[in-house]
Amino acid sequence: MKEVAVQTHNLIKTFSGVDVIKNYNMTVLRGSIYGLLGANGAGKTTAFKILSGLLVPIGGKAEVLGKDIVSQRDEVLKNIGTIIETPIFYEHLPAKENLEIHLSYMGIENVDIASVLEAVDLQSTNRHPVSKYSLGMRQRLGIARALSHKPQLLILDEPTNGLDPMGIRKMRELFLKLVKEENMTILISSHILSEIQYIADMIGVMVNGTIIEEVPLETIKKQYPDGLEDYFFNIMDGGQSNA
Amino acid sequence: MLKWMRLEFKKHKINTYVHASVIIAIVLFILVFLFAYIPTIDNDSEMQIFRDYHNLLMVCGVLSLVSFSILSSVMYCKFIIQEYGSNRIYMLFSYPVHRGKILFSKVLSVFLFIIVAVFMCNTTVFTVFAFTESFFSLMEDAFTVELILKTIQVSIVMAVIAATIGVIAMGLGYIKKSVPTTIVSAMLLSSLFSNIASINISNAASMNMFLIIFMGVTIAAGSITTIMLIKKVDRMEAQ
Ligand SMILES: Nc1ncnc2c1ncn2[C@@H]1O[C@H](COP(=O)(O)OP(=O)(O)O)[C@@H](O)[C@H]1O
Ligand SMILES: [Mg+2]
Repeated sequence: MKEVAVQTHNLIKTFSGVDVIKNYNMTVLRGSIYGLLGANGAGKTTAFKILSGLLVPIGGKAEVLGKDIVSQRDEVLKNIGTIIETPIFYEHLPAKENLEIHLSYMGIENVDIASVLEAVDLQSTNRHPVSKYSLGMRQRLGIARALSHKPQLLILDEPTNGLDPMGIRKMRELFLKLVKEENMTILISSHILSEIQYIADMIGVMVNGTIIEEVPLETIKKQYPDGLEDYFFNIMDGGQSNA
Repeated sequence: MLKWMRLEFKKHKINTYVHASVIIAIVLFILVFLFAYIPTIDNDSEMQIFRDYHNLLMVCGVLSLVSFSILSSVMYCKFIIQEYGSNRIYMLFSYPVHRGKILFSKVLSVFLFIIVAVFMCNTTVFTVFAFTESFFSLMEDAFTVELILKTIQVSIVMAVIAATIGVIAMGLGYIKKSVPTTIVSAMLLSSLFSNIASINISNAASMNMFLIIFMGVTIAAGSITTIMLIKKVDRMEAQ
């Protein structure tokens, strides 16, 4: 049995009386890629914000890398890398300086920033401020920043937003490489199955704030050799009309 | 703490605020010169009080205090209000550093910047003015060692008050996460100061008393503001 990277137990989060997250249970194994699939508004971002300490659940419990995310927040933050929604930067500074500042706060020295940037096809010699970057470049810089401090867990909220098909493919390869070579764990969300079905080991289907199904991709692939899309579509749709 | 403060200055364009400070100093110098010059061409008795170095020093101090209080509030808007009141907070809250520590480094960065800026501005403006005096001689009394010490003393007190008004204004603006509220609060607080100061301007004893009391009250209020904010960010959510 593999070690657990993320374990939640009946998480609840409410915004002005509405349960945006409820009965949220997820188990992410170390060294795997977990794809969180859900329609827009299902609560993926909110769930990831809880897991990265940005929001505090009003009920339930979440352990990230064996630590309680509420009481041991800073311990968790040291070992995770995140992209939540569109990444934010110090706009007037170039990519390199943005990463330097990030690494200072993370308390990490001697990182080869040039190679981190190269991994996402950005150049450390690019002296343009980030404000001049395209959406795709920002997204890639966000990914570079999230993995620059060599975290054990990456929490990536729709990280391929704004990337072209080539870029998406490169990121997929990068994610697979990180898991294989650095033994990272990746938790990634998307509202499009095709974005995660080629890399995820496990898929959690989220509907109205709850993970209604958590299945290894392998199993489904065997059961539905040509109907993966239909399978997930039915779950997401069925769950919604039940709620 | 020094490390976090250095990062703050790296993150925010410090040059902008250095330029702003230099501009304030230049404008201040022109005003001081006018205050000293007008009584020599206009015999209106009200204006004659500015031919006295002590009074001129106080006016200079009050004007710079008002300007730098506002600059301070503008900096706090950039360093704090806009950081914690927008999605930039995702970045701040992703660091494994005690949130209060980061906030405190922000408060302290601006605070010290303003103190240094006010002190440098006041002493430079007054030194340059005293120097030009040796050519134009607008003043009735002489620039003495005692006056130099007085200039330094007043500059320090004014610097602390200006920086602290910024902190209080930031605290008020933070409640609404509003830039205008922050800047208007600084304007109101500094004009409150300048109104009371102008009443006491020609009476050295009551002026000193007023400065000490005002400084004490603002420091107390500024400290409470900072402590409350530090507690607040630690429990805060990034919506
Ligand atoms: N800060 C907030 N205040 C109120 N409602 C929110 C807030 N954040 C998210 N929501 C609501 O919670 C639901 C889930 O949002 P979100 O987590 O962003 O979904 P997803 O990322 O899956 O698209 C949406 O209905 C959204 O309107
Ligand atoms: Mg989302």
